[in-house]
Amino acid sequence: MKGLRKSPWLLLAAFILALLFRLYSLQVDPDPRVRSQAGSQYWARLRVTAPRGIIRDRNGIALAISAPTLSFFIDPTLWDPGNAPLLQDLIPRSRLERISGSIGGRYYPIARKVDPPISDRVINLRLPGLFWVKETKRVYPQGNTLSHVLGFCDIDDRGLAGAELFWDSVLYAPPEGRIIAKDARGDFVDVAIPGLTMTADNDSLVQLTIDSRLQHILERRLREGVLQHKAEWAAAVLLEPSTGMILGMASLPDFDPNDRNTFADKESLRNNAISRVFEPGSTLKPIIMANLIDNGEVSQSTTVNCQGKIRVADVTIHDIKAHGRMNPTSIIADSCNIGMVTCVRNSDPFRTYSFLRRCGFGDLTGVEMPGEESGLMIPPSQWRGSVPATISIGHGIGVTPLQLAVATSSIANGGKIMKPFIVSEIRSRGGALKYQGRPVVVSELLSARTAQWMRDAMRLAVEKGTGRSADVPGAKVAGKTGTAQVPGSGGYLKGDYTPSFVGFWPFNDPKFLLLVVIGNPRAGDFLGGKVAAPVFRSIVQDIEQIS
Amino acid sequence: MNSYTLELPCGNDIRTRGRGTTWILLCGAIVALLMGLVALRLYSLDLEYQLADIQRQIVLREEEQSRLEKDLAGLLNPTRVYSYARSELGMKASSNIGLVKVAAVSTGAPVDQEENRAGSGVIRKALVWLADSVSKKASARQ
Repeated sequence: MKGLRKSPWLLLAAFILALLFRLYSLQVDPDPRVRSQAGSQYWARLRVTAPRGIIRDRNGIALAISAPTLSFFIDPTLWDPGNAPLLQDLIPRSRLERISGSIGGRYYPIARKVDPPISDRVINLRLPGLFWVKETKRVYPQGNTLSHVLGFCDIDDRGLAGAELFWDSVLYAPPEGRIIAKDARGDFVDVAIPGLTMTADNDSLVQLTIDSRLQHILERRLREGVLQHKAEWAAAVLLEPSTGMILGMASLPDFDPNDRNTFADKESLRNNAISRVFEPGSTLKPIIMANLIDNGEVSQSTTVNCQGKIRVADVTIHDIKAHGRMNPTSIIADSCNIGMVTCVRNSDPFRTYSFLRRCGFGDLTGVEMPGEESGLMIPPSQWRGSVPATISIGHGIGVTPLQLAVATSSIANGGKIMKPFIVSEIRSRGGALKYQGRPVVVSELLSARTAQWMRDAMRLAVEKGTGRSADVPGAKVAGKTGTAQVPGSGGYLKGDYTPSFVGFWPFNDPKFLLLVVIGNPRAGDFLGGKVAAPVFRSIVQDIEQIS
Repeated sequence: MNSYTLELPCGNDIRTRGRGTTWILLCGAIVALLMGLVALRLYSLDLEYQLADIQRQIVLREEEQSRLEKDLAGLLNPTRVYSYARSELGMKASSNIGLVKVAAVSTGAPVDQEENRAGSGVIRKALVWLADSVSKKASARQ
């Protein structure tokens, strides 16, 4: 009797226990299939594209940035070809023709990386079967400016040239998955509505040492010079001689990394500042002469007689005129070929070769950019006949503009070869410092006394010598002109010249060093003092006004 | 004679009733616990929704920031600034301007002596005239 009375409670307790057990099994330890199905109702894993990191100049101005865009595709099973004409102004014509007819499958892309004004118009059409995904597009807000240094990316945001290629491992962030919530109707409770992807953040940074304002001056004045002299190419390098920090680097012809049509001309893609090898001509003379003075082969009291031409082995080397009695200072100031050839006549080729290698010629400078050339240096065992003489006047040796600028910096900074650097710092995703550009002394090339002496000689070249048209009153420019012939198959090409000017200012404590090279001017003038020096002067004038 | 038996609640019945109450309370507590769990689950869902909404806003703001930064970089482009200054503001090339480097004033001499030197006569007038003419040219440029 008592058991019967208790039984309802026992049954209730058993029922509750069973219920609790079931609740426990469902809530705490469900069947994996149930867990998976329930999860799919609440959560979804989506493919997320991350933008590339930013490239900035030394003042923090963005030079390359990723901006959000939309890529459109259609699902042919839901698409009405009759709607195609509505997109005629918004997508490429070939794609438009394709979607005007029947298409198989479930996915057909119609436009990639469409910018907001147009993409908004496409979305507002609300066409059935038209879908879109979010992507980022690489944008270069300054257009052609610094295009060779920055480089460009492919359609999938992988770096193909310049800093974009060199630092691709830092800038590029691969697509990743992200779990996002869905509401009771199965819609995404997140930003992707109704697209299928969204973007992740990427705070990686490449900060260059380039100053946008100086770069603009460099490019503008160089372009004016190229147009005026109808030159085929040009390059300019501006750096801080005491540290090797590159403040500007220009190359013409150039391209607009935002416009792929400008990539068609292969010459425009070449960075002439680091990838063009040319014979420097007389701009090499100060470096050679400094070596002779440092070695004691030439002193300030040495004199030579310039008669306008000299026979060396099987070659006759000419000068513009017979300069008469010359000392080392006037040889540099008047750019006397005969004086240089006479001075190096007894030099040891192996010693000169070793010196030129210590200058950095024949080696990569190590600047943080792809595509750098090492130049051309004949080994001293092959320096026969007139080769040592021609090298002393900057022929028979191939250098890049950056190599020449770095070597001349040693005169400006007291005798040190500095490793050039164009990257200030690199921060990987998350903000960790990955690389920092610092001044690095590669070698002690010249004594401070010789460097000082050569600075004075180069100042004289600008005040009274061949570089007078580079002088800027008040700026105290020191420099050297150069006019080199262009080698071709079987000899030097007639009518082809490479005028150049390398200089620094103020000459007694240089803050800037600038090299200007103009390739193959066709307008008549071809001398460095007539073609490159005026461009140099105009750049110095502009820089002095803002610095 | 009728006899009545008075049945008084015995101790066992009292215990049985007491147990029933306990069971009811226990069941109530379990139900309350379950409801609490459901409420917590609903609350967590609400938080998840809020979190997702905030995340969405962050992404939208980041996209807007990217667009603004792109626009800013375009506006700061020196080429654009230069061409705007030339075409819209009438800036002209400063071909007639030279650099005037003023030598540092010697600090060795007493101040009053320096002032006397500068204040005496023609040199000071010349310096004032030079400074005025330079500043006029500068303001004319602007």
